[in-house]
Amino acid sequence: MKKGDKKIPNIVFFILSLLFLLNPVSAVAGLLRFESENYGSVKNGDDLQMKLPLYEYLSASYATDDQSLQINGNLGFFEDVAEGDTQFYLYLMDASYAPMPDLFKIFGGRSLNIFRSIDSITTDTIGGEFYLLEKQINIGGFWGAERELELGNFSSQKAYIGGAYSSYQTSSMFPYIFYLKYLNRNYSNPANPIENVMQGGVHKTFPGFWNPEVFFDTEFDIFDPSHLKRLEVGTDLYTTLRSVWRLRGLTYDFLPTQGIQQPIFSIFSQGRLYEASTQFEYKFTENLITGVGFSWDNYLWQDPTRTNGYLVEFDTKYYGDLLDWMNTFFYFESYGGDVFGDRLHIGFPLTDEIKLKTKLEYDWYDKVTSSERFSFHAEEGIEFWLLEKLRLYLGGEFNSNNTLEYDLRFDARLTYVLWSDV
Amino acid sequence: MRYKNRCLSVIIYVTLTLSLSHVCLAESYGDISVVFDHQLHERKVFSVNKIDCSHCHNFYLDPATQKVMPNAALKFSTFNKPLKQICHSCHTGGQKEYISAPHACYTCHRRFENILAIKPKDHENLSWKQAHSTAARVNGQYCMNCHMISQCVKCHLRRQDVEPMNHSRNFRFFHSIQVRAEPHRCDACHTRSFCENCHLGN
Repeated sequence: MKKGDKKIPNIVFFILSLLFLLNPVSAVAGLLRFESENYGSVKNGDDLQMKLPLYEYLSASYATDDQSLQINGNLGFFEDVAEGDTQFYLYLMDASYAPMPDLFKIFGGRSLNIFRSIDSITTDTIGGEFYLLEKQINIGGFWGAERELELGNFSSQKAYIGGAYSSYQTSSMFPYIFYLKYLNRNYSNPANPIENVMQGGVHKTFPGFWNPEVFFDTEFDIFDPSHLKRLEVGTDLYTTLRSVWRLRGLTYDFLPTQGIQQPIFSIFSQGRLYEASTQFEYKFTENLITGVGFSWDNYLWQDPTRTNGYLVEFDTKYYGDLLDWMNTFFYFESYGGDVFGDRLHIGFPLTDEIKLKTKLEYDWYDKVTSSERFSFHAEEGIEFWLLEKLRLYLGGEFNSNNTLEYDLRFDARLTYVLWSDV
Repeated sequence: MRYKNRCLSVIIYVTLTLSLSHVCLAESYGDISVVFDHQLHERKVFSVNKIDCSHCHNFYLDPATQKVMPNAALKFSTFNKPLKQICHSCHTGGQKEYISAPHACYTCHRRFENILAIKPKDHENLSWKQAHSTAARVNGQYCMNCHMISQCVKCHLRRQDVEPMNHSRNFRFFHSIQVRAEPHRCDACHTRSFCENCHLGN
């Protein structure tokens, strides 16, 4: 079988699963969530040739009322009609079944799952989960493989993984929540070292003065604790009924040898990063929120030189019956240059079913590699709700910058969302 | 190969159309009182925990006569507390004896509009997009009360450039500045191969 032909059984499997989900004879009472998003565009490419990209994303999730059976499937594909290029780049399918819902469940399939993976990567796994002390404690184990799926890149490299996870929640109105996850990675490429990653964290809200919500989260190699990949601590302080003050501290390091992930971080940094950030948010009314945030990053650029990055942001959000409006001013600075930008998004409902949407985006940037530049994006569109569940967006865009002087696009997005009893 | 892919695209679209027409006919209900299964609760909850009618209602079962007897407040309402308070006293955790009661919000809030209406306040925070990753790692079970895994996939694994979900249209022109300011952020969704697709001409 050729490498590309492996896609076909997955697609057939997905379609059969969809039919199963939608068959009232085989599916017991439960909730179905079905979503289809279709994006199409007519645009000038970088080479000023016309492009007709078409993207489709399907997801179907089904859960029985007692959550003893859960199935999830996702499919994404891309087609450029003008060039005749077709790529299936996303095909996920996983299920879990609890023969004894209060005691244990089994699961298997291909998914992105926050309980079974570390970092945003696709895993093919099977495993089981047990519950103890009236579900205050859950303990799970899994075995399988990680693989990288990027558009146009079906990587043959993978890592075999096995691991366990556990969480504990105390019984209280303000509980302590603990979690712990262990993952063993064994790469198909023997040149890569075996990894034993441990993740753990705790979250707690304290009632009383400023109601602090505190969390601690960390990740490290269990046999090399001196190399700490991530440690994050933070607190949210509810200073008044209308305001919240957030404080975060983070240290992060991701070695370039760490597997098929090949982090982008390792391109720019040769060592540890430290980040401190704060944000103050104030709600003038239930519909109007403003916030100002600042963050500072410091990391090893080229040994022994460290470099800094800065971000300042000012946001406002308003949600009303006549208008919804969101604006963000931001300023970034790094050794790569600096950028000041503004994002303004306005939604104006004409009727319950029709909404006008406007986007204006301005950016002034000064890169070390080029002269000062300005880019501008303006978009006007109209969104229709059809038959209650179907949303159609039609829009036109105008983009302008120094490298691509004019880019005129016409976009269409068709979304179907179903959330229904079956 | 291209022919096969096109055939598959057609099959998917046909399946989708048939599926949609099928599920559109499915009966949908949004009223919580319709969702509530009294018999199920009698069997699994009331008898086990010795909860009588007066726990929720303005009437009680007389132990001597086994007859339902009204309270004075019955003429105003059949329930002695707001429905929300009654349901949430067991289904939102906190009390140890009820911690195994289903906590998924869609257990009762069945319709999509109803789920949106009870969206937690912290999701409206301006920094929620950045902050949700830590919340999901530490307390992922809580997210699963309303969300399904497909919603993680939609942002973290889906790729399309017609309307990027997490970046603005102009991001392409200054991403080299931002990535040098906070290089760890990109790792949440991308790997090096994503850069190489353009910068190394793959």
